Amino acid sequence: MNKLGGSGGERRFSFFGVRKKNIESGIQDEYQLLTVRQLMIRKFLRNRMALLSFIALVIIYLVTLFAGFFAPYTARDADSKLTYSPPMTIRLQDPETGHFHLPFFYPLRGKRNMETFQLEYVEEREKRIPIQFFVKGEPYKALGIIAWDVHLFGSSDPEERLHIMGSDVRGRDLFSRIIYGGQVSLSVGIFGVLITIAVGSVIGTLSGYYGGVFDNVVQRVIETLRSFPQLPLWMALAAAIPPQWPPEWVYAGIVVVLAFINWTGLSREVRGLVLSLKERDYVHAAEASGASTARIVRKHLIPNMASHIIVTATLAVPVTILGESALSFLGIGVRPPMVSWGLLLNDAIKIQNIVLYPWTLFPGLFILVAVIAYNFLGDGLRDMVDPFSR
Amino acid sequence: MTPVEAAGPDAILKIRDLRLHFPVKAGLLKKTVGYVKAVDGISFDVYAGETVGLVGESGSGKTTIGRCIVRLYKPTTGSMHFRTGAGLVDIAQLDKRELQPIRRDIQMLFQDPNSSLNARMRVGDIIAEPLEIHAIGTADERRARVEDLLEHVGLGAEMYNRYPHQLSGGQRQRVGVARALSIEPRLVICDEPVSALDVSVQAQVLNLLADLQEELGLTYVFIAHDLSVVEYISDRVMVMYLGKLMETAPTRKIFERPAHPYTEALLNSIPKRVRGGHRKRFVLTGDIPSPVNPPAGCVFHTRCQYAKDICKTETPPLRTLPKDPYTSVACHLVDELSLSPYYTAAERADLEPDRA
Amino acid sequence: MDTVLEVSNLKTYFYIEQGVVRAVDGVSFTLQAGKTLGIVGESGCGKSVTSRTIMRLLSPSLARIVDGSIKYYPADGPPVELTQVDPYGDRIRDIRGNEIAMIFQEPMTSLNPVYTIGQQIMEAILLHQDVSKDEARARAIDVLRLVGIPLPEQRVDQYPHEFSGGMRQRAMIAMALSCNPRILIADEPTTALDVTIEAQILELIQQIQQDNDMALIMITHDLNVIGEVADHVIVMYLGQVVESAPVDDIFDQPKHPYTQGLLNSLPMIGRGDRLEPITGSVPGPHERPRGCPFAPRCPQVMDRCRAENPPSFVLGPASDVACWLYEEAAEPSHDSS
Repeated sequence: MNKLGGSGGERRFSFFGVRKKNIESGIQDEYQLLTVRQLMIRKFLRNRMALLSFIALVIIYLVTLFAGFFAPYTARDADSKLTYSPPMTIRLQDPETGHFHLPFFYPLRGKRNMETFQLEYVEEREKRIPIQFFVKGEPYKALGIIAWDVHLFGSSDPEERLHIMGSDVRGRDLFSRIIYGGQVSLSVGIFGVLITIAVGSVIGTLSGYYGGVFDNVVQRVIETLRSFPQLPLWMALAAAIPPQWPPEWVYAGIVVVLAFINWTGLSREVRGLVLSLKERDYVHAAEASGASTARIVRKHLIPNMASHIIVTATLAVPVTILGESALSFLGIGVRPPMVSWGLLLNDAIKIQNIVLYPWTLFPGLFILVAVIAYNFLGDGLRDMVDPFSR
Repeated sequence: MTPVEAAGPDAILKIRDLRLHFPVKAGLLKKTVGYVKAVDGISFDVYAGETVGLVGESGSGKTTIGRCIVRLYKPTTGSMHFRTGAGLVDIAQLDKRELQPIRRDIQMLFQDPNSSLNARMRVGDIIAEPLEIHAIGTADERRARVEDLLEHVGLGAEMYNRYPHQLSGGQRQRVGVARALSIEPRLVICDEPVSALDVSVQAQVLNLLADLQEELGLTYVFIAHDLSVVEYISDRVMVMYLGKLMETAPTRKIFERPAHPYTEALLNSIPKRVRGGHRKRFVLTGDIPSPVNPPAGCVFHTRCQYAKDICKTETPPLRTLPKDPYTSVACHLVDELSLSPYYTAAERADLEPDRA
Repeated sequence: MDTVLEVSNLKTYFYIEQGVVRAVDGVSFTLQAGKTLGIVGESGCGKSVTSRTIMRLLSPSLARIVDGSIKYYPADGPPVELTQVDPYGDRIRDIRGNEIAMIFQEPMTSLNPVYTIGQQIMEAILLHQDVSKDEARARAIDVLRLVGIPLPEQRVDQYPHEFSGGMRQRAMIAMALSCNPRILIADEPTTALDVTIEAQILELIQQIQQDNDMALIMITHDLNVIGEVADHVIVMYLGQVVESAPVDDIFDQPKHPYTQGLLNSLPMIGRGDRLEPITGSVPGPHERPRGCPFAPRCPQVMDRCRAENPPSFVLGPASDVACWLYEEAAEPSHDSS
């Protein structure tokens, strides 16, 4: 009445160790034991957008870190002859003769339009200025310490300036200012999130582990803080920073203001994790052995929360970047002579500027790219820390 | 001499009238609206070198008792006297610092080896943790001891640097055993240590526990819902229902001559094979009542087929049977009832010859 | 005897990141109306995947039926080859829940918390039968009464969270029975339940089976449950059937060393002897042995077992065993392809 599995002949193909490609799926017909780390890496690499974002962020951070080298000019280097100059075209081909050359540009000459009284720029085709790599230019301090004057690229003629993304009202190179501004905007994200992590995980761990009155108070405080609209609260706090403070202090103040709201989200997440982790039997086992609370937190809670904290923190970076940009855009963030992307966008605050000088919107593009990249990266990391999900 | 001292010289643990009531909070102000009476007035002794099986359904409070003994929970009232070098010490209300030396003597083995091992720690570090907490030996001595333990529980010293996810379920539970034994406890609370394991691996761990007990003179409190496992490993069985002890008796006696109707019902619920077709059996009706509102009188009367009026009003005390000093039963009707064992003599005779 | 289901040489493989997992690797059995087939094995033996393959519940992107056939014989009409039907199509929907029903281990995750018990049972009835809403409700109350739920007229409007664990499992059974299925697949139906509730559920399932002449597939790791309910037992190990025999033979004269090992590992009340566990543990998919899957743990292993996987040898009208020890004793194979 019962029949057992097929004959031996059919089964012979199923021996472990016989490598054969499965025709249908292309998956190797063999089972490998992967470590969790291998699984995590595979999972991350398979998320193309996260990988791309990660590479993009690494490049952006490297460029801003060595801003002096990558930017053709310093942030304050002005040229009153070229105010609001449009982006200059980098050319390889002479438009008249059709000959190819090494990269060069034509300098712009301003001419007042006597009907509109606008300064209009035209290329001076007679003067072909080659673009030079590793060009000597303005001196700067690489990483803030090493004095150097070599820039990645620049105009070969010090008299004729190159603005690949145009210039601002005082004739400062926008591209260089964006690179320097990135230092502020991107580091605000990192420092803000570091404070967020520190405050959020400590408070979250304490309120999750001990519960009781402390937890009750903390949760009510968090609810109160979170019930304010975020931007006005930021604005109110930023406005409280004394105007006589030096720019560096203001910068630190802005970082603290931004972290002030962000830690609440992280601390809630950590509290939830602690609540669930402290009911795990390995924590009970440690307690039954007489482990101190500090030991349980250090050996059992933190290592098991680290990956979640990193993901949350990664996703909090773009929020902080946007926050800084918003405050600076509104003029209550970092103050000149510091530059940040939000502050640069402040040039585009007037509608006629956007119409007349659309390149002043370039900093917004950088904000967009950084924020999107961080979000994709955070998503990828989230998949990665849970390698067993599909 | 206190009544506790009088209970016998070789009792390692004497529990008297232990209660643990968890408050049930509700509403905006978290007012206490009632109590879950997880453990509700339990007294028993544990003797050195024995295995006491603690059985009952979910909600019976068996796990809560285990967690009280290792002091993961603080009992609401009652005493737990544990025998130390300095005589009997009531550990029920000790604070964290006072408990520290006692913790070396009482360890716990957990149910689910997946959640009882920290996935971020290496096997060696997991086993060494109790040694580190109690600052026993130098790092090298601890390592040597852990490797020794690994061999002892049948894993091999090469497992030292593995992570839990690289082990099978049975291997993980062996790591749990090694951790519990690392600081040489005298009393081990085994909380369902095999119920998450496959049958073939379950038998390995049961045998390991039995061998280690013999070798190290351990005392076990073995908590389980699987009566056949308890029958295999225990010398004595305590049957719990809704936070109270129903019956305690030597293992053979429980299965051959149950004295409490709930014990009978439990035995009758175990699936068993009867030659030639399906048996018709008596099945306990209904569910276990809520421990927030346990029934008045005998807590079992709502499901007891023998219940009389007295059972609904008066709580029967746990009494030692006059004719059998090792058996205690909490039932008003203990003298009137004649209850059926797991296997009747006829069924046993029918199955035996083939098993040889 | 009426055959209602015939599974032969079924192979279901999972295609996942790490490679191929041969969850079911050559399973055959036949199921008779009114009888109970017990499928027993440890975790990872493929018993649950077998049942989900029969119900076509596995996502085709993940699991593939690589080989074999599942023939379902309806009460009228030609047999249906379940491996060939579209897993999202109408044909399987007609059969699933209506003619072949299934109950799962965890009743809470199988019930939708946002609908009442009654709505969920009625949904199954309305899907498969041409009845009005009122008739379906009446039928839902009937099946709830049948599975022993007190006050079914009130319980029918309650939500799953208002039911206790045992009651939820009863509700699941009620849902499975609402269309009078010809086959009931019970996948570890009592594993999550207390022993007294388990007894109630097992009693209920057997009662209903007798009353309705239903075929039952009982999938469990618990040999005691198998011993109580099954007529015929197949023992699975690493996706393969190692032994198939009537229940008394399995317990009294186990043939395959794995079956013997399982029984020697099982604490049985009143036996008293020391347990003799099988050594080692079930190998993971990455260390799948060549040859006989049980060879690395087998106390009677021979060189041949490590090299060649034994076919199933026929030892009697209803007994087969896949073990080289029985090559001599075997009758000529009834599957000589």
